[in-house]
Amino acid sequence: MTDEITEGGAAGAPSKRQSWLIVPPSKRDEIEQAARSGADVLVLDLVELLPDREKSSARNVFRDAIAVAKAAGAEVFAQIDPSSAETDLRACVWPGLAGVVISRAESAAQVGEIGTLLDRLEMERGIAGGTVHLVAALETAQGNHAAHDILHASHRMFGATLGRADLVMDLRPEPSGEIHLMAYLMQRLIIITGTVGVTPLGAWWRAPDRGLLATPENTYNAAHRGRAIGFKGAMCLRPEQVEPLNRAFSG
Amino acid sequence: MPVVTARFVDNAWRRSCDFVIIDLEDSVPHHLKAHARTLVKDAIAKVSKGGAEAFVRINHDSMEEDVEASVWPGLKRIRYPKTEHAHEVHRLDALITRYEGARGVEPGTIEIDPSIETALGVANIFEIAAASARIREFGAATGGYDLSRDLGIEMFVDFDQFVYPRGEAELAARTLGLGVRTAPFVANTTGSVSDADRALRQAEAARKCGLRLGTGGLNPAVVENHNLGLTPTEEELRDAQWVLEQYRVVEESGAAWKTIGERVIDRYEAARAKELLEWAAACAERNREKAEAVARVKAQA
Amino acid sequence: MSSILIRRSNLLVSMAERGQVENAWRHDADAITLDLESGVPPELKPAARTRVREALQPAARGGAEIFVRVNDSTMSEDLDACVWPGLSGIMVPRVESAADVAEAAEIVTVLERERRLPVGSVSLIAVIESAAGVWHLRSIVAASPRVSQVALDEGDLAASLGIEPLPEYDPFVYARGRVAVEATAARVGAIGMAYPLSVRPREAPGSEIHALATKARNSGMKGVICPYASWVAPVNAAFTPTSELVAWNRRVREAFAAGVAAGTAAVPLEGRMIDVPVDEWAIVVLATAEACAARDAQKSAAKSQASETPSKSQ
Repeated sequence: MTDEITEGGAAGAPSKRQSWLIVPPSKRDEIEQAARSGADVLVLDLVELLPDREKSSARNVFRDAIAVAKAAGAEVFAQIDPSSAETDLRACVWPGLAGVVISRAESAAQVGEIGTLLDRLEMERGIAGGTVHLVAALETAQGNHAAHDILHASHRMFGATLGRADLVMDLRPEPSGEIHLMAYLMQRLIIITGTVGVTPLGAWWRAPDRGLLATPENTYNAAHRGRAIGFKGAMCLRPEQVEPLNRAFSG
Repeated sequence: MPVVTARFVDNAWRRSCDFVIIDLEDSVPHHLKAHARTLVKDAIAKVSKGGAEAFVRINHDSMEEDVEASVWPGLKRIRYPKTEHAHEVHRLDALITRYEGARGVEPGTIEIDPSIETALGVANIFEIAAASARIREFGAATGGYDLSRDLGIEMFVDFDQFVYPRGEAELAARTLGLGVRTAPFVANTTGSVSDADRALRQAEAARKCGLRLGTGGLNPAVVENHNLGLTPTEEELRDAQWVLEQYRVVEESGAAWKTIGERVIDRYEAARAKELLEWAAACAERNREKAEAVARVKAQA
Repeated sequence: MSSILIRRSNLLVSMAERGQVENAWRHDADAITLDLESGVPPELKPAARTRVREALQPAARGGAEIFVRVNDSTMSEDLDACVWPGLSGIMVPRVESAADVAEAAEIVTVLERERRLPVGSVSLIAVIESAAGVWHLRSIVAASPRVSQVALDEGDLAASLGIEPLPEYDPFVYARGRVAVEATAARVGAIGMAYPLSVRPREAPGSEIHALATKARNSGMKGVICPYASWVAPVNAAFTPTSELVAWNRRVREAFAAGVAAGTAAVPLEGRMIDVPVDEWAIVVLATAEACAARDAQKSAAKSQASETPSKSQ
């Protein structure tokens, strides 16, 4: 496994990765629409957006979904569930996959397991070793508590995000409009990513924004605030959120 | 409340509190502490007449004597002030175990509540919170004088001075599955402890945030509003029922989520709605318990 | 109670600006830091280094403690140039680990011994400028008993994280809060200004500096590094208990003592509840006020002496 390792972070990420649009892999027309949105990265999701009964069919079409997404010039990541890491990775690690988002990452051991699986699958499927990057979505208290160890656990680690921590941890709006505990979690994450040398992804969402979903205007504002405190790009759920993210994070 | 002030102890049961903290620490003058220890056993019985749980706040520096004075049937929890190290919790745990055994209290029933009141406590918060299975809940710098004094700051200013300590405490509590007494920042520029309106606003803010534990107060005037603020409203309950109905429709349609107008209906909303209904039922049950207890006391009078 | 360190204002002057160095003593700062680091262009650093020894004692004419901010890249040479009589301490920049502190402390110890200075007399101010420094704070503040204060350089921290901060969105509430807690836990003084002047210092009306310095104090800071002389007076005032505060705390002590004598330790006073912690805080405020007064008297005495005797370099 060859790995050109830059200080503390994943190697060879020349492309801009400011807007990340999460889509389910099973609906071709949604993927095509997503690909036209101008998103830098399409995240084909096996965890959050699908009902459980659709997950195995989603895995079956994953390889085609990568091709559709890449055809429009976006990079493609997969979002996997660490509790079904092997199954999910077998479904999504194909040539053309740029990386994997680990939903609800909770431990360095999980990251280690996933790194090992990636080593094997890259070799089996003719992908240059070390190509597939990782992003840790720290969406639980345990994940945030162990953030430093998690982000240090693989040379593949490109970035970290709070993902949908507001939903998973049940963090709700305060009288001020701020989402409870998020200011602390965001700023803490930015310090930890700064310590390890990985890219912090996220936006400073406020009520009524919820679970990475917001109007285009609120998306711009959240990204603008997020950039001002250190984030370098953010994730969203709808194509109309992409242009505001690109605008807020460049220029 | 200070255990040495008889009228407080005798009347606490009337205040419809969920819990009463019998204090041996800061509200008891030094020269009265030995006497105070002799009063705890009876105080436990008196304050719990109205259905409140009886807690005792012991002194940091007289752990053994205070635990000996406090561990009696009816005691639910011991609060340990200015906890700074896990080893303090270990020692307290062992003492409680010893006296539970000696006094016929079922082993393991008495909880430990380590109060974090200094910067060093905040720095060590995770190891403290993880130090004993008796810890189910702890306090996290919600407007505490002691942490302010340790940091050298004047309280009652218009900005949130405790983002870091509160965040550290909440993260530790959530990681370990413990309750944490905290509340969203609501400015308090007067320092009044009897401001019932502010108490209500703060409790309401906590409720809407999904927080369920009262922070406690220093004046009876706030009790009603703590209870009221943390109890869900009728409107919230109706809304929760509606969300659950909508989510059933979502599930039946085979989707993971849908939006209705600006609202998202997904498994997270359904979980929040379900939790709210369970919480409302628990509040009603607790109110009923307290009312029955008060009725029993009055019937005996 | 151990004595309270009063170092409200630390005026930073570049060793490349001779006029500023010569006049620094006039501004009534509790401390002056002679800067060999960011304030001096690289090509002028060697010359600045040669001048620092002779600048130490004249700079103390107004009673200030005298610090030197060294370069981490030329630490040995800089320390060699400045650990001489008249030096109160060293400001060490870009501290990321306990090892960075230990390195400086060891060199200082050797120099103190060689030059017959009381060993341990030179204290350290650790300046944190990176995420790693913020994360490793606990080991940094505990790395040497010489560490008396710790500062967050928010401008450099922002640059290291690629952040261009906006005044409305404070990126460092967590970092600043962590510095305050870990420093206090280690009995070391956290120093720093409130946002946004903490990240982009500038000259401003005294009332604005006073308001922000007060906010810094109420965030756990014990003093402010002043890049401008105009900051010194409002910063000193913000960190000195006002006469109103002193009067209130005297009333607190009286009321509480009366309560204790009457058998209670919870006394209502003017809408607040006075119990043991409130009384103990009153003791701290009154002691701080006394210590400030003593420090101000020291500085006045030094200034009178300086005015009476024509200044001579020692």
